[in-house]
Amino acid sequence: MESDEPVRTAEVLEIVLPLVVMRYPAESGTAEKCAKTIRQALNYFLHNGAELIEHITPEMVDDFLWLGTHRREYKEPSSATAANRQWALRVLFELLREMGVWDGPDMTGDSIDREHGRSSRPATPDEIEQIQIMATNVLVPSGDELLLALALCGGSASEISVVCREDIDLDEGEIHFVGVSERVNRIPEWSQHVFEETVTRLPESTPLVVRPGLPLARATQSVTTRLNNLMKRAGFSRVSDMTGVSIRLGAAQQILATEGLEAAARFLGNQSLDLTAKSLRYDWWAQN
Amino acid sequence: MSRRKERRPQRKRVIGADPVPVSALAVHDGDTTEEARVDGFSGSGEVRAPRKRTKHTEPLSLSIVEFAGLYASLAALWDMSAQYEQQLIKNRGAGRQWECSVADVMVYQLLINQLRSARAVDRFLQDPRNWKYICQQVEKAFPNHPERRLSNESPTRFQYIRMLKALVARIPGFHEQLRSGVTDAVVNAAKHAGCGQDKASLTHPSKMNMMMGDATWEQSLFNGINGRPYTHQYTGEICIARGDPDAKPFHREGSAPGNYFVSVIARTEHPHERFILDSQYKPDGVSDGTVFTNMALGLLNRFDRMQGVVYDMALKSEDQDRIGATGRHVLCKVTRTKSGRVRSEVIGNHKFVGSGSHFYQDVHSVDGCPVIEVVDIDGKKHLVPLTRKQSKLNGTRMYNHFEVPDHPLVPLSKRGATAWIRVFSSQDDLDAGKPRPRFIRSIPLNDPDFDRLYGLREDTESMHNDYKSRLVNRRARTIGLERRELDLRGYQLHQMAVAIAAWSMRTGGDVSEFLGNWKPPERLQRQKAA
Repeated sequence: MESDEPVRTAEVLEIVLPLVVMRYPAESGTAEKCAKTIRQALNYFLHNGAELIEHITPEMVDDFLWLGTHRREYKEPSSATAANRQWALRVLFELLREMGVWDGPDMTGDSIDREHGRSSRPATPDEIEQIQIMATNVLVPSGDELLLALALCGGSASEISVVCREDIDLDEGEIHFVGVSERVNRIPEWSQHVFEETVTRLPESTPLVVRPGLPLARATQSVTTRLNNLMKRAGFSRVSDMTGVSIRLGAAQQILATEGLEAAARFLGNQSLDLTAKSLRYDWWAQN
Repeated sequence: MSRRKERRPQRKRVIGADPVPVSALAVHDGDTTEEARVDGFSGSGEVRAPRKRTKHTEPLSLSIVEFAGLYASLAALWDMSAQYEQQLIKNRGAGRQWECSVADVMVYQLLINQLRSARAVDRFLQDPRNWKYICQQVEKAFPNHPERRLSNESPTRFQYIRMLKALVARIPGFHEQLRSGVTDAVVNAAKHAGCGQDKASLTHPSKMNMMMGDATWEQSLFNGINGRPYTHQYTGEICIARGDPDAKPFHREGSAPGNYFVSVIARTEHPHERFILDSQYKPDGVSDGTVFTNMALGLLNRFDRMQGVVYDMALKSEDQDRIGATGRHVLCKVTRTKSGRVRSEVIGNHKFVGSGSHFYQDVHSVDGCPVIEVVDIDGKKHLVPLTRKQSKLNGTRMYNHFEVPDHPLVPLSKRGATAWIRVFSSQDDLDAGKPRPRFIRSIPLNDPDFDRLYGLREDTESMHNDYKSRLVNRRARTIGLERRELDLRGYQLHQMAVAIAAWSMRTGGDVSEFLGNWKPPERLQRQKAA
């Protein structure tokens, strides 16, 4: 679709939407998220006077990236939200460029640092013990014990949500996480004990902690919420830097202490040692 | 059982400091209609007693005789009486010699504010000890002014009435002279107490540098319209109703006759230090806002640092422009449209200057507050109120420096950008039929300074209530505007005496210019010392 006719901003969405779906065929959640952000961005540009895509300015793009979000009240967006918007806009401009309808410069600017790990700190061994007690001593079985055991194996919320019985090898003491950072982690002692108690009784080929057939985004959200609730029950509701992520970071910190940064990065499924060090509050440049 | 008149519910504020969704406002840009006023007597025939007011504060802990001493020590009273005495002598015709002086009659008039009627004052002065005490107070207050002495005997009610008639009949323009004389005295006293003298910025005016006003309806002594015939309900006889010749019916023909009067006051930030700078009965065919503006314009020139006026919504845009043209703020709310909606208008496209960049943005006005439109992430429109940073004069034309607030809804590139917006009309605005005071305020309703200053207006209402509470049945005590005007001036002088005495008792400052050597009673001085 190459023509000299200027492209109207209002029409861009119709052109781009099928391409977004084609770009992320296996990940419906990703395509959906990207399309939603592109729709919001185009509406925003249109309202601010960009009738044609040529009228979009870097200032306009920057304003959109950092536009406030609201649930109960208006708040500044987190860097992760801004980075997500930036990613969606990069996709938009790339697609437009590929289609030959736009050949302007990159207006999304430098990559926004998502500030991974800055919001949550690793839990200390004492804190992990406190959470274990809270997960174990319940009147009604809630499955929190199993969830915590999986988190202590180093799985992220999305990884935990797809773990099945056959991913856990109790004889070898290993767990297989699938997804973007596919890896095999060693099962800690407490988790091994929990798995021996529970996993053997569960059916095969079905997720251990969520309903079978639940979309990945919903399943991930469910795991995150349950981990956060567990943290609250354990008495960390008022500790702003303690979230569900703190559990796996706490486990990773123990690996860091014994086996070093590379092992901790492998445990978390991180490709970047910088990112791992940052998450674990470890100043590895100073150490070296 | 008749229901008492209730306090009107407070108007809900639609624009605060936070953005408002456009969908929640339902405004119509450019609707110039005005909601009808519902205050005052409804005229619907419903009989409702005035609002019950239980709280009264006694301005000064003085007895009536001590108040009489305070009145007689007013230097302004002696200055004016000397002036009128001379004119009376000059214009004297045939007839008996007056048996009392003008000063006696003025003290008599002022005492009516305490005792509510001329007959009560007459009874009070029949006790010679009271008059003797007042005379002694005058001697103490002005030992070096032998001419400032009261007569040996107190005036009777008939002498008082005769003297008033003589003053009105024999001194040309007596009422104007009295009004300007009293106003001069009150303005000097107000300045002495610090009103209109505060060194405050135009952006954040001091309470002391504001002039407040309001109008109130004073019901006449009689219910009937003067001279109107009516049929007696028992005998069927055709009678002529008694009525005040100058009273006008309120809303409906024949209902609650009386007259509006308008007052302008100034005050310090301390209790009882309130000065009625001027007061006037409203002539027919002129709005009370216009009467207030006329009075205020005359008074503003006499206070160098007076920074604004406060009035209610009766102050129309033309009057606001007249005050605005002198470089003063006008604090009043914005009338709703006829359909009860919040008034909204496009102010125009303004240049906003940020750090190193600028942009043009349409500025709207909602309920007197300038706002800009932004969209949130879902495409929903919101109005973001601008923050007033500064008020500045270019000659006498006022401009406000408005800033785009640092709010998550506002795009980053626009936050902190500022624009200058004119708040009163230019000739172009008037030619286009869009006077600015119709939709924008120099201190917008969502500004913290508005809340701080607008409440001052209630002082005027309070003073009017105080005046009416001194009338029998809250109705005029005399008939005809000529006599009612004297009551009004009497109250103005009374209030000045109270305010300057209160100021003196609080600060210990010198008030010899106004009260001679008058000193508060011993017990009050002891109380203060304790």
